[in-house]
Order: sequence, then C-alpha cells, then structure tokens
Amino acid sequence: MAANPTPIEILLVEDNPGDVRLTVEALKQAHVFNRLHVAKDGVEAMQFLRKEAPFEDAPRPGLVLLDLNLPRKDGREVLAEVKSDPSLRRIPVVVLTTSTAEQDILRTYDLHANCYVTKPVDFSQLLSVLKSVHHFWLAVVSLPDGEE
Amino acid sequence: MTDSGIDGRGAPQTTEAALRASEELFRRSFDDASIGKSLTGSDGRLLRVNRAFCDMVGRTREEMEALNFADITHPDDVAESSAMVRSALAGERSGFRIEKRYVHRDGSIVWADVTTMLLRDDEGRPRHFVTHVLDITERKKAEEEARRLQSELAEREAHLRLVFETMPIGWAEHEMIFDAEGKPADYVFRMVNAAFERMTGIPPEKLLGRRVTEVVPNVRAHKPDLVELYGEVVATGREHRYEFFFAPLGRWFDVLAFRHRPGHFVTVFEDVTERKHTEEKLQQTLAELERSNGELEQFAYVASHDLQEPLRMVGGFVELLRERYEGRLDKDADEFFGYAMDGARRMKILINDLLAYSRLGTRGRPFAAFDAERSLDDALANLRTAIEEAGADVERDPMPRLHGDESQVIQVLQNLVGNAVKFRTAKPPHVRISAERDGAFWRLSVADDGPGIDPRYFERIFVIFQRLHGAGEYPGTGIGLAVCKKVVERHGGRIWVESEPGRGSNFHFTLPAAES
Repeated sequence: MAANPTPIEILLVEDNPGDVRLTVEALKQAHVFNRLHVAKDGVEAMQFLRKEAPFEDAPRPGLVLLDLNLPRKDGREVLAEVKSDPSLRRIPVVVLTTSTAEQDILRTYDLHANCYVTKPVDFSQLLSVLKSVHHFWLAVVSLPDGEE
Repeated sequence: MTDSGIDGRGAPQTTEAALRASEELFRRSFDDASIGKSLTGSDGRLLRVNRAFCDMVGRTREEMEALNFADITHPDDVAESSAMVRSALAGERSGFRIEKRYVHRDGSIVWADVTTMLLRDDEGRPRHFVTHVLDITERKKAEEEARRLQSELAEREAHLRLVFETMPIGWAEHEMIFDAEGKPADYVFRMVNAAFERMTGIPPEKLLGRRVTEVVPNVRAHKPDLVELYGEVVATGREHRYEFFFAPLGRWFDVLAFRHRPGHFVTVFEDVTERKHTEEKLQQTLAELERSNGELEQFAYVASHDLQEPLRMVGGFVELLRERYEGRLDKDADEFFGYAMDGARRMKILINDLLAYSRLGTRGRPFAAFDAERSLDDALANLRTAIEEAGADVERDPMPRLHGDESQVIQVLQNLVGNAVKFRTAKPPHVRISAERDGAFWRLSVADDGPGIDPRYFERIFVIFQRLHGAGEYPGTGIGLAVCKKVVERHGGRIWVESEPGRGSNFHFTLPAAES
C-alpha cells in the first residue's frame, strides 16, 4: 500500500452540524486526515463542484460524502447531476443514508450502487466502503501498516 | 189352410211350419245374439235369457230362469231398476235405458247398459219386458281410470300452481320478437308469478300479452342492450346472469335469464337490495380501512424515520463522550455512560424494527410461486452463528412450494427459528421444522424444547413490542412475532402457538400452496 504524496480533498455535503461533527470524528478514527470541506446543502455542493461563486477557488475533491436529505437541493438530485456531468462523474460519491430503507429506495433510482454508509458514520463501516473505492485507497493519507 | 206367413224363400207356409219358422227366427235372433237379451215378467222374473246374458253374469240358463232380475242386480241398483219397471208398468213410459250393475256369480261387478221395453198385448195389458244388455264393464273401468287420472292431474296442477305462486323468487316467461332481419327487437310477457307483482309492483294485467317497450317505455335508457342480451339467450340457449338497478322502484335485482323452449326465455330474479347495501357498506368500510392503514403505516414510517436523527445525536455524542472520557471521570460517570449507550442502542434497534414493520405492507412484493425449501435454507444460513453458538440441533422436514412473498417468508422462518434458538433452557435447544398440507394451504410448524409459554400469553406475544421477559433475560425488542403475524396475515394465513410451560413450544402458521 503505497501512500500517495498528494492527499485528496474530501467534500462532505451535510446540513446537520451534529452529523458533520460525528462524521469528522469517524474520519479521524479511520485515520483519514485529509482536508475536509463542508457544503451545507445541495446548491452549495454543486457550486463547490463547479467552482462557481462563492467557491471559485474550490479544489476538485477526490471523494464526496453526500447526505441524502438536504435543504434546497437534496442528495438524490446532486447525485444525479454529478453522475450525468462528464467532468464530475468520475468523482466517487459515498452516500450517507439513515437506514437500509433509504438504500432500497436509492437502488430503485438505479443510481450509484454499493457506496452507502449508514449514519451515524462509524469507523468500520466507513473503512469498508472506502476500500471499495479502489483508487482512493491509494490517495487516502496513511493507514498505519497492518490495519486493513 | 190359413196363410200364416212367408218363409225365408218367399214360399207360403202352413201355420205350423210358419210358427216353427217364426220360433226358429226368434230363437236365433234371441239366443245367438252377441249382446245379452232377456224376457222379464212384470214381476221381474227372468222368463227367458240368452247365452250372452248368461255368460255375462256367469250363470246357466237354468239358474237364470229361476231368478228374478233383482237377484242378479247389484243391491244398490235394485231400487232404480225397480222404480223404472214400476214406472213403465204404470204407463208413464214404454221403456227405459239405464246403466246398472249386475253381480257375477263369482262376486265381481258387471256394468251394463240396459235398454228395456215393455210389450203390451192388444188390450194394452203388460205382457213382458224385452231387455237388451250391453256389457260396459271395460268402458266403466276406463271411465273411472280417466276420472282418477284427471283428479290426480288436477291435484298435481294445483300443487304446481301453489309452488309457482308462493315461491319467493320472481318468475316471468317472455316470447321473443324478431324484426325483419331476424334480429331481436322486442319481447312479450307471457306469464308471471305472484312474486313478480310483489317485487315489481306491476300487476299481471298490465303485462301479459304486452311488449316490454309498452310496459317500460324507457327500458333502453336503463339497460341499452337488454333486448340484445335476451335475444342471445333465445338464440344460443346460454344462460345470462346479471344484476341491475330498477330505478322506478329504487331496488336492485339479481336476474337469471334462460331459454326453456324455442323462441322464449324465462327470467328468475331476486330482490338483492339489502345485500347490495351491505356490500356497498362493506366496500366503504374496506376502503376506509385501507386508507386508515395506509395512514398508520405512513405515520409509523415517518415517526420512526424522523426519530432517527435526534437519536443519532444522542447516541453518537454519548459514544464520543465515552470514548474520550471513559476512565477519566469518576466511576459513576462510566456507569452513566453505560446506561446511556445501552439505551441509545436499544432505541436504535426499536426504531429500525418499527420502520421495517411499518413497511411490511407497502414494501411487500407481489406474490409468486417459490420453493420454501430454499427459504428455509436462507433463514438457517442467516442464523448460522446463533445456531452454532447455542449448539442447537435443527431438524427439518421437506418444505413445500408456496405462493407468496419469498423474502417475507424467509423473515418469518428466521424469526421463529431464531426465537426457538434464543429462548432456550440451559441445555442446547432442539428445533424441528415441519410442514403439513391443509386444504389450499400448507401448515408449517416450528417446534422447540425451550421453556414454553403460559397459555395466558398466547395472544399477547404476537402484539408488537410485547415481551414476556425482561431486557436482561433474553435480547430482542419483541417485534419478531409481530412481524411474523403481519406477514402471515398478509398472505391470508393464520399463526398461533401450542405450548405448555416447561414442555416447549410449537408455532404453527399457514401459507397458500403454490398452484401446481
């Protein structure tokens, strides 16, 4: 497992400050020390991704953690827009859902499969999902050796 | 020599010869006649009888000529015969014709058509009666038989009529009328029963012989294809059954039309207004129930969904607190963290269970045939860890093919077997899963040798969240059986338990068999 010298940035799209904090703690636990950006609704998320005002200087995130239930523009719409935009669709999106019920609903939309994490984001769940996002494994800043 | 007569050949005869010839003629025509003949005196004595008469009453001539006509007459007819005789002797009549009965020697009755004439001498004095007797016994028998039959027929007809007029079902016969192209155009009422008038309020006089278009002018407005439908019945002989609302009366009728003879059809009908009202009410109640159920399910879903977020806040941050400060505050704090975490954990399971339960109806898949053998495989695979840990011995019979929602049935089996493994005594549990055919259903059973259940609780255990044990004794939220019940009932089946404390439990549930 080689460590990539340029750590990726992570965009967390989440409106609930409590959930943001829990996710931050979970990332810490998973030894994910990449820079985290937060967008608090779907409109901000798209502005960030498209580097539109007020996010003209936004970096391109290497991973998006996307909550489904957002004000103004919800997670499903963001997901659909990202996946249909050729310049954005290669960015892996991990969807944060509140229940398996929601995951089932998502599946019927035939959007991204298997990249779900149930909230509250917990350490081992996050790890196993990140593992499935192969090339980001390499880009994620160091897991101590032996901890897979 | 006196000229006394002409013989048969036209030649004159001597008196003696003439007399003899006359005698001979008389004897032949008398004795050999095929009908009975007798000469009777004014006193009724039989002076002379012929062979036919003797045969008729079964007596010899010697016997007869010693008798009076009354002796061979049926006692009930003697009076009439005698009266007639007296009447003739009195000059009131020259003869008479009656039907009377003779009594045969063997006792049987002989009916006779008797014509009697009184011969008088030149001075008008009665000489004797000449009687012709025709045996009409056969005819009489036939007449009586005919009368009997007629009376029987009349009785039967009266009975049929009674049946017809008292039956509580309307009955009407109609004759179909076709137009020039042979298409059904109209029909005429030919016969109706009493119930018809009672049910429709239309008296027979207004109907019989009339066309339906006359009696109910706007019949086509009520049922446009009425005449065509009946025409079909008449043409094909196939029955037609339908319900319709007869607006003029405001009642519903269930009508069956059939062809009982060519060119005609009969309708039998019942007033089903009451039933219709009940059906309507039932439909309304069902719709109401469905709506209410939908609302409840939605409520349960929304509630449990919305409850997740605050719970996440509580649980998530208490967990973080515990991670960060466990052992760093005092012992009480550690204990408090424990209770708080455990509460949050259980609440999470509860909310998830409630969410899943609320979605059983709406999320259920459409029914299809499937192999329950595989369902049991899946359920046991899901329980593998629990089974191994408990050291449980699971015995299974072959499972049938069922009709329903396979994933939900897996859930039921998993819950029941899981319970059997979970609720056990100190020794490793023994579980047996079996299946038995029950009409259009299969009855599946999960039997264990666990602690058993007090009969008081047989109903309660299927109610959501009703647990019989404290949180510490056995894990679980108490939703498993409620889920089983909801799934089984969704399939139209039943679920129940047989158990005795200390003797284990046997859970039974029925599911529809797959149509083969």
